[in-house]
Amino acid sequence: MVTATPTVYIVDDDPQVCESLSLMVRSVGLEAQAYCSAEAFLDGFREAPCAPKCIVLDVRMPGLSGLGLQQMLVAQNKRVPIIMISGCADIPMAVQAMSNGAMDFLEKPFSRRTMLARIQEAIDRDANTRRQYAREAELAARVERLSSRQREVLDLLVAGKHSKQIASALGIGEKTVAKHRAGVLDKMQADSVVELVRLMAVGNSG
Amino acid sequence: MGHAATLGIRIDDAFGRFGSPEQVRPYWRLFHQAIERVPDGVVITTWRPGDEHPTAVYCNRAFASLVGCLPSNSPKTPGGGENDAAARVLSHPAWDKSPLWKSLEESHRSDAVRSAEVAHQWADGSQLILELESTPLQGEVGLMGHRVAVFRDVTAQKNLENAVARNERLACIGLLGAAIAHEINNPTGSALVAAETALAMLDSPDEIKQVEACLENIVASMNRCGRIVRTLLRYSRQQPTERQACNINDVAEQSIELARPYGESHGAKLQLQLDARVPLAPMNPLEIELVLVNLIRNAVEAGGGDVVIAVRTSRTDHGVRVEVQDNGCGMNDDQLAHVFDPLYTTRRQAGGSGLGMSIALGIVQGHGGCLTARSRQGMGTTVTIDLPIAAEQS
Repeated sequence: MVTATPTVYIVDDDPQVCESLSLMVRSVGLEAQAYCSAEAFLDGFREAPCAPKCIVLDVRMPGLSGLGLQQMLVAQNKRVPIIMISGCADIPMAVQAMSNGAMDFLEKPFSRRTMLARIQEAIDRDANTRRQYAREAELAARVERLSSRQREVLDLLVAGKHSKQIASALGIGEKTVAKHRAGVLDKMQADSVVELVRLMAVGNSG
Repeated sequence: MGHAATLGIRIDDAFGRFGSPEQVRPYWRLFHQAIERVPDGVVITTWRPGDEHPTAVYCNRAFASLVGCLPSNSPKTPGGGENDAAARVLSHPAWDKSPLWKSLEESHRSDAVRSAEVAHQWADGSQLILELESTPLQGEVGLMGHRVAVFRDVTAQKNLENAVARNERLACIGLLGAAIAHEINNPTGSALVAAETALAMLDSPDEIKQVEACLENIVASMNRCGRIVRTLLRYSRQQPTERQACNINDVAEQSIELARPYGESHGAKLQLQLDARVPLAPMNPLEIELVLVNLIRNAVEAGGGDVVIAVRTSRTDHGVRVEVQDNGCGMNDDQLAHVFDPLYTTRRQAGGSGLGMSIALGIVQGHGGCLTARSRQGMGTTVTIDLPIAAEQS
């Protein structure tokens, strides 16, 4: 699988913070895109589906705050990992950011090592999420190609039923069941019922 | 001159003019017993026509204990009829030079009731703060020129007040500190990351442009830190009591600058309306700044979002005025009535200490000024600071 360069989106109203974080991110070979406000981010952010990404987000900004932007992304179901940063954090703020699903909450000043570690973690998590999405989408496409009868057979196979049980459940002959089973395995690109079950389990996890 | 030699501390000196010793002795006893039971120090003085100085005619044992001429655990009930406490105090060689005596002398210069605070140093160096109230005895022949002075020991109370004032000032600076921390953590954070990035790139010679960008970032960040620290230093250098003639416009401007990051990060809009004709007024600019920053902070919190806060200066008949007006949630009558009470807060959950407004009131009153709040629920609040041009002599 070809992956695009991971991108770190930096949103902070302090231009110097934006600049130093961009320099840091680029120095380890990642792509950096900096925005001086939450509004500028919303204007400029275009989802590139295959590149893993994360957002380094300042909590306090004039206009839409970091917490506000985070809530907006959650509401729009854009689940990009977020690392919150703050120059003057209080506990309620940190609690809210974390309960909204932030990966971490770092207080300025933070060290390069800490920040890069958290960014790497966030990007790995996003890449995993993306792979998982891709697998699920692929699997869904394969299921989509099954006939309605084949889908019934698939459900019973995954539920661990034998051919005889399937035949009686669907009111059809065992030979017909065997034919449908072969069709299901073929379209789902599985060599055996065991592999089919594993495939479906992976697709449903996460 | 030795006052002790001329002091009328004996019965015939104090009461002789009212009759023979036998006639006045029962009244002397009654008077003596009564005054000796007063827990405060009592001193009666007179200034006879033709005398150069007033004379003390009586003092009780409580007074002698206060000034250290009698041990405080000596019997409170007087023994004989003689005023031995007075003898001890008034024959003390340092008495007529003591601040206590000076304050008594001073009170004789007018016919009014006089109050003052007097410090008294004990032999061991410890200091006592006494509150003096001196009242003229008038209306009766023979009492003209007499005054009775009551001394109350307010040392413990004063020490407590000073400690509270100090704590309040610290709390106030703490509030400001949170805003400043935010300001200083941005450039330090930025410089730290840039420096570490520059170090990490030293090994790759083709990245020299990047290293240069990092170093420039560090220089700019450190310059910013320096500016913030210089602002802070002003607070540590100036004594809290120092007053100087200031333009309230400068103070208002500085406060807005300090409060702006906090206000804007909470979605508040800050406006400054300065009257160019305001005269200079004596003040401690940092204290007034603290008050204004606190008021702006309150206004930001009253807004819960899109509040507009106007800081306005103007001149008044006798001084200068600065108001902080917001269009936030306002207060109901009950909240308004308690607005200056220490520890009263509607934001306990959000970490409000309830000290801001009482500190503000203390500072403004310390300047001889007035702090007033007007508010209507749902319409917003206006807090006005009035400062006199001429500092009040108290």
